[in-house]
Amino acid sequence: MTSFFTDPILRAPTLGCMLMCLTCAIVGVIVFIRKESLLGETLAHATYPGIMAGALLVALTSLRSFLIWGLLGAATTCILSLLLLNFVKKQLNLKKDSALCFTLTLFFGVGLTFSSYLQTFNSGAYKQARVFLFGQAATITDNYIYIYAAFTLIVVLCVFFFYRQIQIANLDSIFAQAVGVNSKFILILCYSLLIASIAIGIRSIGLFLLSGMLIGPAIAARQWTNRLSRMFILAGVIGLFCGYTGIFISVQVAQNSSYAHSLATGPTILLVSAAISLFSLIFAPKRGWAIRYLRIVKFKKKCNEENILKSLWHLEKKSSKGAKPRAVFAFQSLSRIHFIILLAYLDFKGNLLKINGNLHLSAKGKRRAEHIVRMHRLWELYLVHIGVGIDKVHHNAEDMEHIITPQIEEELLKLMKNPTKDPHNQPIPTRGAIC
Amino acid sequence: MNPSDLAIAVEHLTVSYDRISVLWDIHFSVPTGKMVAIVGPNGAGKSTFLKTILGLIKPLTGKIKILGSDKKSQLQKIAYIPQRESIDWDFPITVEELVLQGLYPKLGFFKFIKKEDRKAAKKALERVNMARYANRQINQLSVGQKQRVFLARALLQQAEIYFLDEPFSGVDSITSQVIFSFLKDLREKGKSIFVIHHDLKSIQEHFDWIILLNMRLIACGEVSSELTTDNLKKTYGQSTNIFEETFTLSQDRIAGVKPS
Repeated sequence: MTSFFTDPILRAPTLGCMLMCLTCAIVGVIVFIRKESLLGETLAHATYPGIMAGALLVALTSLRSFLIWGLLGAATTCILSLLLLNFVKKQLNLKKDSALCFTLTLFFGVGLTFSSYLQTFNSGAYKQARVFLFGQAATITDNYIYIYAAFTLIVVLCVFFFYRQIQIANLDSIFAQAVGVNSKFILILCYSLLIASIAIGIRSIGLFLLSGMLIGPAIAARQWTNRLSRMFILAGVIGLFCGYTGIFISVQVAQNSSYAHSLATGPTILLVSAAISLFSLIFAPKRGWAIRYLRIVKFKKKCNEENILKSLWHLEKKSSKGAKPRAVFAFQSLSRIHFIILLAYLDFKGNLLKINGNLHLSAKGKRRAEHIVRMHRLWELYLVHIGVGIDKVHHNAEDMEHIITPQIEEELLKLMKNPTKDPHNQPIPTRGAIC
Repeated sequence: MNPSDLAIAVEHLTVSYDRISVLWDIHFSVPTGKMVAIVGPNGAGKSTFLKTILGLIKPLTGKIKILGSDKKSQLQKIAYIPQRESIDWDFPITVEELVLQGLYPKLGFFKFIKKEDRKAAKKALERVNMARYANRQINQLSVGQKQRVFLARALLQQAEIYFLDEPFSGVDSITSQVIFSFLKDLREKGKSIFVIHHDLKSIQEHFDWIILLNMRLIACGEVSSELTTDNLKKTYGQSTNIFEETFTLSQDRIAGVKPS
């Protein structure tokens, strides 16, 4: 494992990818809370003409370092696209999404034109420039690491020192300005960090996939926490993990397969990040889809059970002989199979008694049913208390009777001074009454 | 009257966007310790007025004195409570963190949040009866609770003047009663409260003072004397239609749109 950090060939790509993913993840959190993920996508694509221009410049002149000029070109067209985007939105009156799409395709189109020219004109330079299109982690050298490390440090320090301003300015700009946060400066800072992280990131992951790396860790981190500070940290950790795992997987595949099979690092990193995001979206404990779905199902089951018990309670009031299952079914809005299953479940849980084919409530079932009736009548009384017409209260209470918590019950009792009759003059069952 | 007994004194204020004046020669003053309703139709310049007082828009002419002084530092004596619609409620922030934003002017740049700051935040939350929700995300609250959290943030700013932008829109009657009783509590402590407000019915009941605004100042004074049908007609009446149309026309001209 450690060989990834000490091996002279693997060291630079591993560190490079991890650093790059870390910065992208942190900057991505800002992009995410500003709801500007598509801006990241547009700016990433807008680097293409810049990279090609940089390659052309190096090919035509005596300038040597493609690394520097490629990155500079990328950053330049990135900034230009941001300016164009603003101009198109404000002066040419295009809506945001159209403006983004227009800018993205325009810059990418120019880039493609450049690159096809470069291909015939100087195929060596073209090959070098292509690295930025899909990314090529394997060819990252130590030189890159210094740039990445310095830049990562800058991003982390900026977020650390301007944390409070970033939080205030992005939540409510009027309040921000009123308390003296320079929101214009914060905006420029956020965009500068974004542009720089794109320019740096495309080397290892490629400009097509970069915006995915910006939002992936942010999406995942948002699922696990409600605090911006923790979101930054968590996204950073996820970013580091994605960078390392991506490299690890692609190297393992290359080493273990007989020959010529390999996985490109950039896409592997992105897939790892997408997998983590997807997992978080589905399984995160508070906001995850699975747990919410489970809660919905559970709540529906509770409602249906309680409705059955309530109907039976009412029927038992009318006749002490209990009720036929069919009579209870008539009051439910359930399918027959669903009803039969639920009835069996209630029986299994000891809520029901069966005597001569008639259903009765057991002591436990009766307690539950009376609780529901009590909540229903308390709520009706409350609605009348706050001025809702007496004819409208029943329907509303049908929904609320399953929801009222003991605390709300307590407040209701206090407000209405321990009532005994509901608005229709029916008795309210006492709390926890046992037959 | 001592000048510092005036919560806000506005002198010949004219504010314009792109050379079009949206507020004309506004001139009034309001004493401290009042509950003030700012009333006017849509587009009457209420939010421009608010932003100008908060120092976000520079007026073309005129002066705003807060508690008797027009120094910039006076702005810190104003707390602003935003319109609910302008907030991204899914933002990753907890109730406590939001309230702590109120300390920003005090903490400034490099200072960290200390234990006593957290204590102060907790106290502010206790005052609005929200202490037990400190760790909730702001969207996991009811409408009235959300409003109270922002009030707690304003409390932490230790402001003398509170500006609320339509706090009662979309709020049920019980919640607005809770908010009103809280605001009255503040007024008892000598604070001044300005509320941009739409519901004319509740003004008589809850407010002391009224500012009727429609590009120019229609009236400013005690509710009992200034809330008259005549003033309301002037504020909401037909006479502004011509102005609005001309205003739209001039905006079109400046933007280069062909007038319809």
